[in-house]
Amino acid sequence: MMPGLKLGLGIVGAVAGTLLTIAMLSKFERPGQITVQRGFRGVAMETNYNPRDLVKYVAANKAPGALPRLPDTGPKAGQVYKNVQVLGDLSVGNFTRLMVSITQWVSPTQGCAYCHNTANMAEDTYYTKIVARRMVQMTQNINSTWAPHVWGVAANPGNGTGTMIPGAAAATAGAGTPGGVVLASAAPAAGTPGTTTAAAGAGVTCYTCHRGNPVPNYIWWKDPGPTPRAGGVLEVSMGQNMASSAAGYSSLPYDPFTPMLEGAYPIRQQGETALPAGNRHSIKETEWTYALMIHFAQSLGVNCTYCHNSRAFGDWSQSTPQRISAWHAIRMVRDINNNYMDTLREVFPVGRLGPTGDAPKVACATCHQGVFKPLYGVNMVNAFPELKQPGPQAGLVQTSLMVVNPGVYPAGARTTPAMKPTPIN
Amino acid sequence: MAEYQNIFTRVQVRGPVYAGVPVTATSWTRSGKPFYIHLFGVLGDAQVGPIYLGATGIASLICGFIAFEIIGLNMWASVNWDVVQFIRQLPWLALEPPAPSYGLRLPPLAQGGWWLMAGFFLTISIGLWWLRVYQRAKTLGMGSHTAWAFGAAIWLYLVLGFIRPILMGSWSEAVPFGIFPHLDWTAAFSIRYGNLFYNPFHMLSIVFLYGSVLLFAMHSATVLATTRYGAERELEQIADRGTAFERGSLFWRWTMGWCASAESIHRWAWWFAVLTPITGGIGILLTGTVVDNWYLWGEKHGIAAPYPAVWGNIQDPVLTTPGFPDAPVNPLAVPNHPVPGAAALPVPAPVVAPVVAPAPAMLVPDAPPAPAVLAPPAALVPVVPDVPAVAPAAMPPAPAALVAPAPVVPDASTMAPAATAPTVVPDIVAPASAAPNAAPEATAPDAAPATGAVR
Repeated sequence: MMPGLKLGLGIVGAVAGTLLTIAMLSKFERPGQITVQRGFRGVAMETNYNPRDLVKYVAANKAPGALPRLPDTGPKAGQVYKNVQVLGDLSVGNFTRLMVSITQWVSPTQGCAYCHNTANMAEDTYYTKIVARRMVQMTQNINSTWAPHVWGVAANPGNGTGTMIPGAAAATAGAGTPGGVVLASAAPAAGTPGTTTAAAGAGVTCYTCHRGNPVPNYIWWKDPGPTPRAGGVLEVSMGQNMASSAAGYSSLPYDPFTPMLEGAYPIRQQGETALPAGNRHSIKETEWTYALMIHFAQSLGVNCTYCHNSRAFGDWSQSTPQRISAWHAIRMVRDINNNYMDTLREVFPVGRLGPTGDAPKVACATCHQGVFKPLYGVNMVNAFPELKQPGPQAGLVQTSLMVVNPGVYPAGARTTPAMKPTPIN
Repeated sequence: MAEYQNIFTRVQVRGPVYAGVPVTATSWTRSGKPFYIHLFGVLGDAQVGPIYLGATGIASLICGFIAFEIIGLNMWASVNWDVVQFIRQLPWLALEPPAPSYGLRLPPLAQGGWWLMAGFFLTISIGLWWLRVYQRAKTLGMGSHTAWAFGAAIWLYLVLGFIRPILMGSWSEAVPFGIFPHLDWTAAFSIRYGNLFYNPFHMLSIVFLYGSVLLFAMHSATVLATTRYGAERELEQIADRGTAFERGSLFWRWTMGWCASAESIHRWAWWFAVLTPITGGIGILLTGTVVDNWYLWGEKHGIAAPYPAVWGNIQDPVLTTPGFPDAPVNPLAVPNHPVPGAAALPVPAPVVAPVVAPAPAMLVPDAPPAPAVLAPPAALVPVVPDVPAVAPAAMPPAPAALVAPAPVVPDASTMAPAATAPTVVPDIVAPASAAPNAAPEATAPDAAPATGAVR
């Protein structure tokens, strides 16, 4: 063999080997995964976890403790303070406790002045106060009318069982998450369906989404596309064929949220008969559903088989109870987006609106943040019963006095739309 | 002594460059002065050229170049002529077929017309290349096996991009031109039609694909292992005793009791290779036209094992909670009424140019309109035993109802008020003109959603 050829092949091999190694180290996960069985044995109905990632998720999803609750006695906040429209029935002490808690959950560094004019706390001066009031109503609505999702009512069977992971439990020791981390519930033993313990939902508080940020990390706007297109006679945007952060960096549609989590576009595409019987759903529609489902999986840190038996995605009888919970979640998110977020569009300053001028909206990742139950199912809201029941709904949007609190929102128009990549990898 | 035990050719025969037998019965000639490249000799023959292009070859290359340019330039335009983004995102970019609402009509260039045009030129290019392969083989006095093998691949290509879309009545059923996009299409295709793994022709295609791999490995390994006895000189050895080829035959006969002959092994390989796309193409052709859900078809015919209800009786919430709205209306929510004192608001400037793309209708496809051919063609009927059950009379009787967007129309809250033409895909995404200052009534998402049709 020619020496030059041998050398050339050696160099090519070394370069290729180095690149492959880099690719493997950065994109592949080394062995040592945890597998939780989620269905009948031997059919790959399972959820996979990387224990190294789990440690990170456990650290990033800790619930803060609650301030001690005060006696519900004495004058009501609505009698003592002016302009308390939603929480007026609380005692002054517990009203103040909730206000302090909200500050810790939402604006810990900005403090009370993020929403209030500290010279006159009653004034609806800042848009943030209008938004906060609406968000309190939204939280009450989620906890009181969306029990099928947030209280696990829909997904009763098997929702209480779980697989305890020792490493993850160690990571949470002394961190306010007693008993370690329960991973996605394991399937009940075959032959004993429905014998598991009762539902274990946890409700929501401001912290479920906000996590100490005035704007939750995982929100979305209508996405007109990641880059401008040449336009003219050339192909217009088909809503896909770009790296889609909403859909796991596939080339699937990059905004499946607008039609399906704000609108009520049909998500189901498969026919329910073996032979054609009028189902005219297209492959393209299926791609939008597929993109949405990738967001579901990534937001919860699970596989398709967390809800579906992947051999028959549409078949409910082979699905897990979590699919019922997700069905309610889809409708809950549409409710939140249409009846809460969108109604605030005129209230938000332009810097909070999306590239097409729409209000920020929520999807699965907004609460879940990579975990199958937000904050690993820690119940924060039981310490705040005022957030669990519907409150007064008067005076929802009052903007006559509203000015923008300088320094608390980004100046100028937003140019980079869309949700952050969902928190998996 | 020549060495043969290697993964690439170590012997290069060098003589005077050789143009080959004379070309007859054609007005074209071979072109190019032949020369040697050592590296080429490592992988194949060291001699390069001359080449015979001919009329079909030149026309094929031109048509292929046109298709390549249409696809590439549209991809480049989709990143606004940005060279860096074009290279970086190339695997994601695509030229997409028209939306379902266009059916089999000719869409505007920007709405899928380029896709049709690229497909047209690519098909012409492939067809001309097939003709060239056939003619070259005939001119050389060869059989036409290569052309028919190529034809098997063309069959699958035509089924995917032409025949099946026509039977389904919609170009949108075809495959996009793009690297990741065509893979996503494949996954979505399987999901939409209920899991292609339960399609028996898909199973057959996999059998022939994996069988081809096995035969290829067995044959090539046998020949390489006997090249030290001169087995690469197949023709002289096929009929003779005591040759390297007989040694290879003996190996297999002693290993598994039976062996192919030097000729029949190539028939095995040819048929396995050719049947891979032929059976695959049949499976694709039946999908959607004859069978809508392959999993359910498999269940009906006993090839899908029952699944134990380990979670108890899980039921569709649509059935267990009838009337549950798809997009609940909170009666307490303030719909999009005029905001008192809105003039005091800081006036938001339009964040982007009001119209981003002229065709919001493309963003989400609706169901395809009525197919031009509802029932499978009669020729397909004998292929699957079920088919008589789908006699044309049993098909949905009213194609017109399928054209109307009503069955798939999203709920009113997402409809653009201006979406009037009933045959046009409903505008799922709010119009791009929803700038912050747009009149609230015109901004679809803020409107209180009507009670959605439960599905």
